[in-house]
Amino acid sequence: MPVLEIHGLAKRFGAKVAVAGIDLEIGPGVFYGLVGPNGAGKTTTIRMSVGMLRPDAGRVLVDGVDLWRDPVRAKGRLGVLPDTLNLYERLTGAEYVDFAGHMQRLPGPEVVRRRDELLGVLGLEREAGRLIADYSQGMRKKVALAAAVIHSPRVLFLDEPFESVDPISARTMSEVLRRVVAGGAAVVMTSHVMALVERTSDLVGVIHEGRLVTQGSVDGLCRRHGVADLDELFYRLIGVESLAASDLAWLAASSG
Amino acid sequence: MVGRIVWLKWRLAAGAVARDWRRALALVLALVGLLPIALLLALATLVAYRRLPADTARELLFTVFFTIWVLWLLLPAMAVSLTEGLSPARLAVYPIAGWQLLAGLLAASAFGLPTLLGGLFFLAALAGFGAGPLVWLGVLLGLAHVLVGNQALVTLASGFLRNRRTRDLVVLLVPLVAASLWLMVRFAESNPFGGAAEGGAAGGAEGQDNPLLRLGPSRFLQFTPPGTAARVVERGYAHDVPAALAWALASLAFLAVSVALWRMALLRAMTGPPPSGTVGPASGRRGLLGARAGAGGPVLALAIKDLRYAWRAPRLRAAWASAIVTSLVLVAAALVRGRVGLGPRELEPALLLPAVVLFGTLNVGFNAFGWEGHPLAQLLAAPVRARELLLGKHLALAAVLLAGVAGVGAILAAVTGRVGETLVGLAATPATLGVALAVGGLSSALLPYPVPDDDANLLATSERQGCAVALFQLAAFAVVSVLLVPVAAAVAWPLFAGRGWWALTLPLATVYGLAAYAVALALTAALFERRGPEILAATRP
Repeated sequence: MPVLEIHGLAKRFGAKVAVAGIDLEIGPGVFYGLVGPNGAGKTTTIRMSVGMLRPDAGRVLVDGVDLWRDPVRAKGRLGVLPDTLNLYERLTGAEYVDFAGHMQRLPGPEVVRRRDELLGVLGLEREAGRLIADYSQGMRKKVALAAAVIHSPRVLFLDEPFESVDPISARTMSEVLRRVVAGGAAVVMTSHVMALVERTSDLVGVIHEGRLVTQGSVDGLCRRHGVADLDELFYRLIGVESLAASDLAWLAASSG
Repeated sequence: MVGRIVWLKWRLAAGAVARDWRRALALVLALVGLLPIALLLALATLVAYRRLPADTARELLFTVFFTIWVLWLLLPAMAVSLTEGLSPARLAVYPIAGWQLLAGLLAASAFGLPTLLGGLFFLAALAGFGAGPLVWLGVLLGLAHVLVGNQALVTLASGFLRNRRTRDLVVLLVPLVAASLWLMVRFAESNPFGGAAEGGAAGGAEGQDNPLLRLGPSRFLQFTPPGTAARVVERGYAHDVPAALAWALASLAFLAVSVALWRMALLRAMTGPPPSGTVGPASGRRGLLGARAGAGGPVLALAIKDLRYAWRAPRLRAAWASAIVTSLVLVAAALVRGRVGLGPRELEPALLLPAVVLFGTLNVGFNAFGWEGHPLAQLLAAPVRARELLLGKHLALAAVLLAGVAGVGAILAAVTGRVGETLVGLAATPATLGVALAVGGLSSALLPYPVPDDDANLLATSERQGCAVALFQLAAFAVVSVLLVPVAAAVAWPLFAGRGWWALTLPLATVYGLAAYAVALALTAALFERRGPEILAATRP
């Protein structure tokens, strides 16, 4: 049984169609990479899938629970790491993860145990007493990840989780995510880094102009479209135009 | 290049206004509201220069020049920028000479509302002292000191001002400046010119004994940059050319030092590393609230988070500081009225304390979701019922307010000696709190508006915080006032009918307040559950 089902999800902002009816089913233990150009509808899809944005149409079922009919129960099964990190800047890292644990109704001692373990694994134990306002971007991503997984969600949404994260931190975060998937949860991640998506994802969906244009395993998609890797597949599906030789010819000469 | 920088400033300012009609409206309202006041004040100084005895006019001139200079130096700390949007660091990538940048920024800072308002006072000085060549020189020097001083301080303190700790301290500056302005008004009302005789700057009348003359600020202020400029005006007007020129030289020397410091700081700021803005780890700080996870549950977790924020977030701290100042002013005003027989003294503590509760909830309690800011998205993504969310937030609000009311109550009891009435006032607090939070909760869900998250500018208001919001707030205040009539009656009536009635009226008032809160909580929770994403969209700063 899929842990995440999205049926006919749609959203329009004025005349602009942001998401034009997306259907998606993701089973347990699946790492799903959602890729697409800027403005394709990835973030809007995630925001509607976690209850931050009301869809115009469609349903979202998290572990069989309708998100918009029974939001409290569904959200207890969700974890979110949004692209714009809306963190409580004036809490310390430890206080913030505590707060997230309590909001997920975990018992106090369990919150402390998981918090300490998470902050330790993510290399934040020395910074745990500092305010998040003083954290670097990478540290903020890590503490946000700790808060997103503290309740062992069934579905974890990550919007550009590795942006501005150094390679070592990215590796640690990837290991935590692999552990989440191994535990039977589904992870949905958006990213612009194709190599990363290719390396981490079991399934990939390509979203363009609010529609899911294709999805499947990376190998399967590459074979189907006759391309070598996800980069090439992306360019083929989305379409890019190369510069003509005469374009910007003046750039060839220096101004000095 | 200088022209290009001025053009850029103009385009940035015009673009910001053109992009949003609300900003244009805000500008018009600022012009309509502030310009006439500044114009009137400047005209008043002009009349004073012309009609007051020469000595008093001189002291006034020094005071005005110095006050404007100090206010303009304070503008950066209050995050009012004369060169809005013009970042020297962004200009650093272009081939601009240092002097061009200085001149460009200075010229750009001359176009803008603050300079326009301050400029009126310099024009008044020009007109008041005859507009001779040396007076012109002095006035221009005064204006230059204001603009250069402002820009030099902005650059010198740019890292410092961006530091989080400094921003936290700025919270204290806002009430301090407000208190200073209040003191100045009181001073003005005390007739500082002591019924000055006719004479004017040209009059040369002497011997008027008034506070301004007794204080003789020019003796000290003449050694400050704006004071030297004022001295040039004063000496120039008296046709004392050698002295005026000597003071002009001193003024120019001050200006040269300011410009040199500014240039040095500007070059360093453009090529140096960005300010860290960080402080040492807070791990050692584990106070009552910063300790371990403790008891769980979303309600308590939210309340603890909000209590931490009440102290740590500069904007919230400023909101609470202003609530405290408002309460104290309210108390002081009522006490003064009582002393002069304009108010019933016996009602003071009993009715004032509920009023303090009401004013305390107005700011934060009536836009609870707006004050949450960006992280409201997290609360929306958490498995928390709206009822729990509201209870957590109200618990924190009640804790802060009750502590504040207890403090004000202690002051009242000590000042008035009416311990009994103070206790009655305290007993009426839960009922008042219940009603205020009830209306505040509904107001938060019905018309949420964003609270800017710019900690560097505590006076900033959101572009969406327009007339509709102000009208709605007035309506909410009217509703809460009407709903509080039974509570006020429960406190006041026994004063006439017999104090024993308090034993009945106060518990009844408490039941009434709690019932109002319970009903409003259910309504607000239903509203939030239905409109959560819309409230989130409406409160995004």
